[in-house]
Amino acid sequence: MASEDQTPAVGIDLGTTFSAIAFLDTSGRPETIPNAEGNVSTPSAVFFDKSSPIVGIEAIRAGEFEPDRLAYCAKRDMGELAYSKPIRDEFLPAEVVQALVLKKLKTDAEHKLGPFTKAVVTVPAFFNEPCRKATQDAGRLAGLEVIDIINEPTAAAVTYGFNKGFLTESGESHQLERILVFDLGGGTFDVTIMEIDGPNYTAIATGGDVYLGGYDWDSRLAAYLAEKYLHELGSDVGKNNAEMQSLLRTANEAKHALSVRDEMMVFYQHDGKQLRLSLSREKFEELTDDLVDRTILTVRMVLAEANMKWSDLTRVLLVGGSTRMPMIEKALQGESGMQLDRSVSPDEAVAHGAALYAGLLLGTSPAARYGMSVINVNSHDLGVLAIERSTKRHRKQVMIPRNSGLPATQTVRFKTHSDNQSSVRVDIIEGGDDSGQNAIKIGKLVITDLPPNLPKDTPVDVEFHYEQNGRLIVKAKLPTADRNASLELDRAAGLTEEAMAEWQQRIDQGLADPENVDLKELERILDNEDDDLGLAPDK
Amino acid sequence: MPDARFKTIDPYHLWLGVPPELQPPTLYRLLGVEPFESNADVIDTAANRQIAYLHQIAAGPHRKEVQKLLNEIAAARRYLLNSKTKAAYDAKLEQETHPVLDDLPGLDAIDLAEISAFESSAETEASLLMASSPFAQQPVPHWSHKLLDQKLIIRVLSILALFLLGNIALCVLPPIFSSQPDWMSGIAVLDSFSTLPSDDYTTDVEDPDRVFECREGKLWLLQNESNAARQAKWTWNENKFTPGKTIGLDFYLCDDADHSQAVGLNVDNKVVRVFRDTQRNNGRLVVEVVGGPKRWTLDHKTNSGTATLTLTRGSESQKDAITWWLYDEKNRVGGTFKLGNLRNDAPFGIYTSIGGPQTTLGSWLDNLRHGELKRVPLIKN
Repeated sequence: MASEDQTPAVGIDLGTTFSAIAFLDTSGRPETIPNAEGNVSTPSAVFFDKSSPIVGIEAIRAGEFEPDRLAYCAKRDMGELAYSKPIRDEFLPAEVVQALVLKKLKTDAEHKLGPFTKAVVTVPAFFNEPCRKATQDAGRLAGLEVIDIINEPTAAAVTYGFNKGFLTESGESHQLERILVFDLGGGTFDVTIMEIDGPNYTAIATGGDVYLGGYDWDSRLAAYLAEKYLHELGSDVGKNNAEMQSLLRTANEAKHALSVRDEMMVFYQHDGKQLRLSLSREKFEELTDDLVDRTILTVRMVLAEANMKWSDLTRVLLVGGSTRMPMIEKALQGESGMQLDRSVSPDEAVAHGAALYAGLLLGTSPAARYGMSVINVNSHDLGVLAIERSTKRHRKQVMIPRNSGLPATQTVRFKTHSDNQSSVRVDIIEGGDDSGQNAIKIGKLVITDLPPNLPKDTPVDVEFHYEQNGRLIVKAKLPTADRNASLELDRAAGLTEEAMAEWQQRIDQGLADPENVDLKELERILDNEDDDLGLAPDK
Repeated sequence: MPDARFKTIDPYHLWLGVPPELQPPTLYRLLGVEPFESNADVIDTAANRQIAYLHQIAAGPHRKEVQKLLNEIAAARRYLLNSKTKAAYDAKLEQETHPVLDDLPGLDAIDLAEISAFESSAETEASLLMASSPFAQQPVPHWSHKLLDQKLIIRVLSILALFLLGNIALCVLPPIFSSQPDWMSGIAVLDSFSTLPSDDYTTDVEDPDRVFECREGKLWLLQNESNAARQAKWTWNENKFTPGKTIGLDFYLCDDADHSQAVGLNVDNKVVRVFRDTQRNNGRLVVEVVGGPKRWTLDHKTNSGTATLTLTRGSESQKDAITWWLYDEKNRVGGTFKLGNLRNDAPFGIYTSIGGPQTTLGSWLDNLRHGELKRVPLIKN
């Protein structure tokens, strides 16, 4: 249990549209920490104001007037090269935007907890390794020591177990619970089947979609409103960024209203003209039925992967604010034939689970005393890009299949493909189809300096060891040639150390608008340009 | 609007097996079933199969494209599993499959404008695919059915024409990267240098044959006979670097190239170039605006010299602002500068600088690119 002088057990749900932070109180119960504005969740939005960034609800409001300065839903671009929209003519890493959100959560929480650095941060189960690394990097940039990252559905299941008293001395579950966690958040969707056996939480299978969430429902409705506005009032508001931002907010409010009412009036004003539209829940559902279908199809796929039927499950647990939409409940209930469990707070369950997990890692929660364990699965295949002898084409040799319980170890024997081969390269990939197409390359292991006259078909043993925390150790050896090599990937890709240092410095300096001195200077010089090819000194 | 992201990879073809000439796909082809398939189980199974495949590659480098297809397949499945919407769609498809030939325009009416209209066919496709969505509640207009067939004819003719007019479509070599970075999609290859660029370019080089050589689709830098370094600007005659557009150059500067070898982009006779700084930066690639005050270094000691330089012009209101990126397979560096007094339709081309007889051989230019960048890599300095 946390005491005054102990490191607090902090968990952060870093969401696409909203984020939340929780800690374990002195009795070991998770508690959400309200932000400085008094809300339990903070919009994951950053407005890059002239002097410094603004995060949260104020950012959303300011973004309606200057949308070009607003970064929102950056989580969807984690693992990409940059956040999809330039801010002040600059493409920022998504990690930087997320770091600013984390920094706000940390700063606000410190009012209650005092200074802290250690935290568990959650990620969608379907995130790949580069996305996970990017999340860790965002934490570092925010001044956090991310002691681990945990999958969001797993965190929600831990909260469920805690609420049911499974983590108390006498309260272990008496019978095995097999839960399907249906987690539809603001921007991502996850399905995970978990077994809860007393204090042991074991993921069986997971699947999802990192581009499917409440934001997509908002966007559909906003597009519909824009079309109606154009049809009835003749202005194409959908083309205007600021108006689109405002429409998205109107759509989001309409979505919330239609989650509790069958019909509502939408009022939307632009340029002195007002759209007044009666909108029914039925219409909203018609606009978005294929999105609902996508969630159901993913659920079916995960059940098939786990080799399970609905009757094998004991519970369907709803998590994430978007599960409040009645269309989700209707579709999932129809599909499963089961009563859905809404016993955890859809907005807080993930952060609470993360705090409980942090307590386990720090040894400060009851969970640690009762031997709680969490076993995850990997959401994507890990493998080697090999060459198929018969076709000479690339093939993916799966080493750790997706949905393997972690840690996992696997060794596969390959062969050299030609005589006198001087080196062997092992390309390490994640995901992709059987031919290795569309996989993410996460590393490379090379054994060089092979002995001369090495015959074709010399065996090469490749071993993968993948740990729960994402650490992948790859070893390769040629037993007959006495050569070996190993590589440890502590989460691949992401920003380089130099880039991290640069961004850290810029964040610390406040990320104010850049001055244009250089541009003016350049313009002056270019106006007097000559084509001198001599090397000018660096400035 | 065509989806620029789909220009460099063709996900319909690569992932769903729909060849370009059969795009936009019908809902049936999208699911990989026979046209007018009536067995709902077959349709459902097919949709699940497609979705399962797309989920396999959903974590890969084209995950946003995967999402687009997932949406389309989910919509197609819903549409074809509903007997009412299926019947309506089948009727439209029937009409499309058997068009009235008299309604087609004469072939002599086909020109480039219509070819570009064909490139916009994603709109038509969306209206067919998303017909269950209220965004596309208007019935698919009659002309669009004819347009599909007309587009097919145009596509076939245009491919044929391109083939006959110098094999342009088929001579494009693979990009220099093992897989083209996602951000680069949208800037299509304008020239892959299968021949010396003198036909399509205006050049200030008097005798290009003596200092350049074309092979393997690349323009190789040779030595200059005299000891002096020699620079050349080539201006592409057809396309212009207009506001909002991006131009790019794929190139290779061999390991021991010194600073006398440089390649770059020539914009309205101003030059942004790249060279290896053997004097101060251990041979790292350096970008500079010729005559400008500042240089930027691609911060990687062992970069292979294979890289892409892109320049993106600001919008109409900031048309002198240039965002540049230098990118190799591992690293990228980028920034912004201003080129004064750029013409709206600024001519552009390539730039090379070569040394004298002592110059090391082996550097080349691969592709000149032009188009609209989907997005750019993160900035590193």
